[in-house]
Amino acid sequence: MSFIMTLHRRIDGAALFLRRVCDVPTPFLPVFYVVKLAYFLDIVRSHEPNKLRRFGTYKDTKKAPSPGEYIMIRFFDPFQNPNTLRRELDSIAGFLRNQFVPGHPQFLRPAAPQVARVNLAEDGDNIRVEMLAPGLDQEKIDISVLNDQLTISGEKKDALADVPGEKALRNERPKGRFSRTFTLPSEVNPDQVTAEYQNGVLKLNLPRAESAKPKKISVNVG
Amino acid sequence: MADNNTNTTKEQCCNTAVATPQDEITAPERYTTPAVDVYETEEELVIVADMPGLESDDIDLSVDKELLNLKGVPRQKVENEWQYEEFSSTSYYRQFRLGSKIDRTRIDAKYTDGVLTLKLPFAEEVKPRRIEIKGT
Repeated sequence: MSFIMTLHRRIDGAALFLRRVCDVPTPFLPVFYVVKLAYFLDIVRSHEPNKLRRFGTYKDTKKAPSPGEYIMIRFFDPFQNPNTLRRELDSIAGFLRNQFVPGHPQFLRPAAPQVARVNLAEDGDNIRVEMLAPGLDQEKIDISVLNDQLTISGEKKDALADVPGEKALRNERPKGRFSRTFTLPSEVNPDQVTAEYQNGVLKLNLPRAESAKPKKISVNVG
Repeated sequence: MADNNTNTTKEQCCNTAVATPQDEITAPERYTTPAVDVYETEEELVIVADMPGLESDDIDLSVDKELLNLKGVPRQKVENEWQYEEFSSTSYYRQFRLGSKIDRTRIDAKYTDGVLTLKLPFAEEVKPRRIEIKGT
């Protein structure tokens, strides 16, 4: 039980530290607890008793430390480099801080897919989309635009299609059909969309619809 | 007999043509390891690698004794201000260890639609051969 109490105190101390140092808002502290707990569990699971530096009574014992002992050693070892603990706390703080920067919630954003990754840029007149899609079957690329919805689908040729199983030595490339739908920043004019496929990159240029172009409003000074 | 032959060839290719992670060394700059498909036919070993966003001049292929170096560095760096970004243009680098059965002088490479196809023919003496048995 004393181990759990110590853990609690330790987490509370770290939480206070975080609140002071990097302004993690109080409602998000439970998130921090979860991360911290996962962090502990991970340490416990991946611990390597042989590489551990022990102190005090642990020094002479041969048996692996229990999780509680391990945490004690890890975080209360007076001989450990003082920077280690600070670095660990900093990395957690940095991770958490990034979550709350508008536009950069790494934690909340779904991971980019392995196939058909896209980049998007926009200016006043056009929206440009590039898709990384090597080895597409050019006849099966299908691009459709409806209002502000863009759908790109296609099929990646399978180099191993005609190869018998025992002759295929590596199979790493993604293959087969894919389809992705995006909501564009504004409506586009579907008649003027151009697309080219070059060196495995599909480049689209989508002019904005007239109704969606930004209008300049002149101010009359009366 | 024919079955035996194919098995031997496959084993050689598995051991020799494909590098294990320990064999792959790092390049000095930041790079992506391209995904590859590797298969063999009767005459050759084929490596298919996804390396989109390059020009064919950007790819540098070299064979150094038993190592095949696959390197692609985009020369034209296009600066784009992406509002939404899932990929960035990077260099590619990967190494493969070749077996002695591959004829280094006849390696053939082709780059289309962002896919590099390498054909590594087997040396004449290793091609599986059917041996005729003559009756007396």
